[in-house]
Amino acid sequence: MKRIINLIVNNKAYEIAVLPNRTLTQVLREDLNLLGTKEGCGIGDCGACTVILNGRPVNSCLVLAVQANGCNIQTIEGVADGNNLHPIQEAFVEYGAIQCGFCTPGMVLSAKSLLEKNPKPTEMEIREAISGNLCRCTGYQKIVEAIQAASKKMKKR
Amino acid sequence: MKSPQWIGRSVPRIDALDKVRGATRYASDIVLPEILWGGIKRSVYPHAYIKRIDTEKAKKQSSVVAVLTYEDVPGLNGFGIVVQDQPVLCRDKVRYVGDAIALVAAETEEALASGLDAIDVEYEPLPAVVDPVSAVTSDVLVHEKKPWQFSQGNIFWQNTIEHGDIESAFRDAYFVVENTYKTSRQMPGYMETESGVAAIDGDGNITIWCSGQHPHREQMQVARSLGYPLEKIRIISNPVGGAFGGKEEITIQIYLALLTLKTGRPVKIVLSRQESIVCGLKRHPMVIKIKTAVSEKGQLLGNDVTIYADTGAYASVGFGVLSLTMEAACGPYKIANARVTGYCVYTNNGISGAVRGFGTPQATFAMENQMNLIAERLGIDPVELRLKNALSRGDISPLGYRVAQSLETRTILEKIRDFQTWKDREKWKKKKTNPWIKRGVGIAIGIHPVGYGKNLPDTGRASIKIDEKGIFHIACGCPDLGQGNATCYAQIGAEALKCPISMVRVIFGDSSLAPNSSASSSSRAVYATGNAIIDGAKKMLKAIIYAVSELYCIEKEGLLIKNSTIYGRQSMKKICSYRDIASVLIEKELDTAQGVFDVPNAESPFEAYCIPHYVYSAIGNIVRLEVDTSTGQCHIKDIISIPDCGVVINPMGLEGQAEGGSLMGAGYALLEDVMIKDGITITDELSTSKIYTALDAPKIKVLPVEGYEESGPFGAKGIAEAVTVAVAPAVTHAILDATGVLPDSIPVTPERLFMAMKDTRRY
Repeated sequence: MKRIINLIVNNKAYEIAVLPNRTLTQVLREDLNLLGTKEGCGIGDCGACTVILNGRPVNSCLVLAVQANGCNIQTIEGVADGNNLHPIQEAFVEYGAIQCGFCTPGMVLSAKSLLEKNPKPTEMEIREAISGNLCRCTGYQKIVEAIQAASKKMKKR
Repeated sequence: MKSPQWIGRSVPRIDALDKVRGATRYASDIVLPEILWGGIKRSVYPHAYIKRIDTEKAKKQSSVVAVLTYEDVPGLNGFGIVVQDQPVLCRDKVRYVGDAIALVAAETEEALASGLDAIDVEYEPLPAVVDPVSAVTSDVLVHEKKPWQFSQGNIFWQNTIEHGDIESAFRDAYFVVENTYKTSRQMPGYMETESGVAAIDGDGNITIWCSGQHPHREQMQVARSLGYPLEKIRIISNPVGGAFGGKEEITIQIYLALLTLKTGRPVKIVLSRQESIVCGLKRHPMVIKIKTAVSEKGQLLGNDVTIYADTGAYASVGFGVLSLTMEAACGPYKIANARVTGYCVYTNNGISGAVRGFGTPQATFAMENQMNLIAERLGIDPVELRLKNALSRGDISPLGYRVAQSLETRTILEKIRDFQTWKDREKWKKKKTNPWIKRGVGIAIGIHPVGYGKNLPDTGRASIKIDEKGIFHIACGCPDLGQGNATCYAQIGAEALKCPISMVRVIFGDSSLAPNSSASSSSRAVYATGNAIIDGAKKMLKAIIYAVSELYCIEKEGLLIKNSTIYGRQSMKKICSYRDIASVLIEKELDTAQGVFDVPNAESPFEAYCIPHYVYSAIGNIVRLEVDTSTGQCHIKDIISIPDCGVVINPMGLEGQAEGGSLMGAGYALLEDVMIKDGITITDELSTSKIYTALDAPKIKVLPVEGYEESGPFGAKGIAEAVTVAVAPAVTHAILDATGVLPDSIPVTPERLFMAMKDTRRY
């Protein structure tokens, strides 16, 4: 039987009826059409589905939509301010941190969650923060450099 | 030559903005009205006869719309790039756990799962063929009917290439080094699993959105299995969420097309990660036996190599992979006498196919380790040994062909020799640390060909069209898998068309909107298609000059083009811009130019397909690592990657390739192995079939050597694969340096190294 849940996603309030076995990934993608959130494994190994839930990065494939009832969620679609990219997004573009792009939304959200709590992370802290986000293309080098650059950019603003 | 405007610049990816905003729509993101979920019923046995397939219960389920078996394949029930030995849907036999038996389309994901469950398959299990070496003489045949004219029993293909007098080399040898190496089953590891959507319109035109590496070949394979007109199939392979060779073969395109054709509705298939790991193509596991004859002074006199490649249940490109292993088996060295024998063998171990490096990493691992053993035996510096024997342009290769084009192996070795990390290695090793930690520094070099190779059609094509605003639309079929070739196309286009990159658009990965530029594989995407773009651009500029000359009554010779403007050659007076002349070109039907480039054929003393190649890229690596002698755990501190890719078109893009390729090589050395036991995949998740995370990944530094390849676009060569081929032997060299033990099997797991160290009785 469906249950009614309330979500705030990217500062917008939603009231949706969901089946109790639906994951947050499924509801974001299929009910709210927020297709920027990717699913790479469905069991919490790859981090492609990372979203920020009440300020913390989570694998949305491991969260049931009903568990997220009443929560505040940010997806990749809510990171840029209209046409203005977030400094993390700018740095990802400038530093070549994107190749195939499938891990990028989750990677950006993990980075954002880190920098919000720790504006000046060390390299190890950055690597730890994105260690749940797998990327096969880049070797992580340019992603780490982009997050370091974003940290500097955000300090200036 | 004028200094280039766009070549050599770190232009950001042309698709980066959409990707970073999450706006890029991958195939699995496509939403269409009335869409069905499609899925595949797969074999649970590695080797069995099918006695009965009962679909009645599944068909009766209310939300199941269609159930298809082999009887529903209208055309050829087989696919494969070289030989069509893989059934679209199995009829009487399954050959690996995961072989496709039936298809289901259903209204929901849940109904799909229940429909697949309801299909009842009765099997008569057969003994599984699991070892590629004993498979050669086994009575149990994976394919009872000969799949190819060259096949024999379980040997899909075998070949021997001999050059010089190998027996005399061993007679004259001061010493001989002999060893057997084993390599693992590495998965490509793309983050986007095989996913796609197909839809059919009222006229029967089928569109398939599915990431693959060669839209036109996929179109042909789909049409062949559907018995359907080619022009009614359109493949859109853009964007691609990673491929690394693993999507070069058909994955799910035929299944999507069959289901949409049967139901008349759009269908989506998304493989689960587990299904993707079990059924996806892997790097061929190989057993390589090498015997190397060496002179007193360290000259390589002869090399005798035997290779067994496990191609799994179906051949795919196994023939090509083994060919490249044979080509690379003697390394980038001058060896006057060589004999290389290879067996590409069927087993019931999943399917092997193209994976970044395509047979070269296996050979490089084996031969570079031979070099390490030889240097140890002679007590000479490993770089000096390699310099003494290095193969350069103009030299005769061990297989007897002349290296025709640029090859900077010596420059790479000199760069390694003079590199501070290498020179200071003893100092670094002596730095204070825990007593159970040992440090080591290793090096390795390798080469990898660019293009398909001898006697294989290998053509790059590009169509360039100017629109009324003077914007150039460059269309080429070759998709961008993430490696960044499309951004290189924009740079090459802007350079060749003498305009800013903002005036260039690139259309790629679409069988209808772009000409067939062959596959995004074989490190050929920038080399072949880039050259085709230059050819098309020349024709376009010629058309522009012609149109201006007609319109303004000026001799063509009196005109020149600079910065998207046409000038009088003498006066340097501006005549008009591209935008001004665009409508004239359109009116005269001169607005489109077709560019073509045929990759040149290599010359060789032996008749073969695929090898040798006309152009090679080269690579050198330095690896520093620490070994915990109490556990056998290795931790790579850093990797230096020194590629020779000719002229660098996009330094940031090259670094991205070399960094990603280095980490894939590091995983190959220490971590990655999709383990199959008795035909059953036992590491079928990302948590067990591991790839590196950011936390374990070493620092990677990329320092390209300066090179120039005359046959390449603005002097460039392909590099996507070379960057990955020499990392594993550099890692094992570093382990040898640290522990005195040379691992001959990869991945070097802690258990393996720990036991090998114990065996020496020094630990």
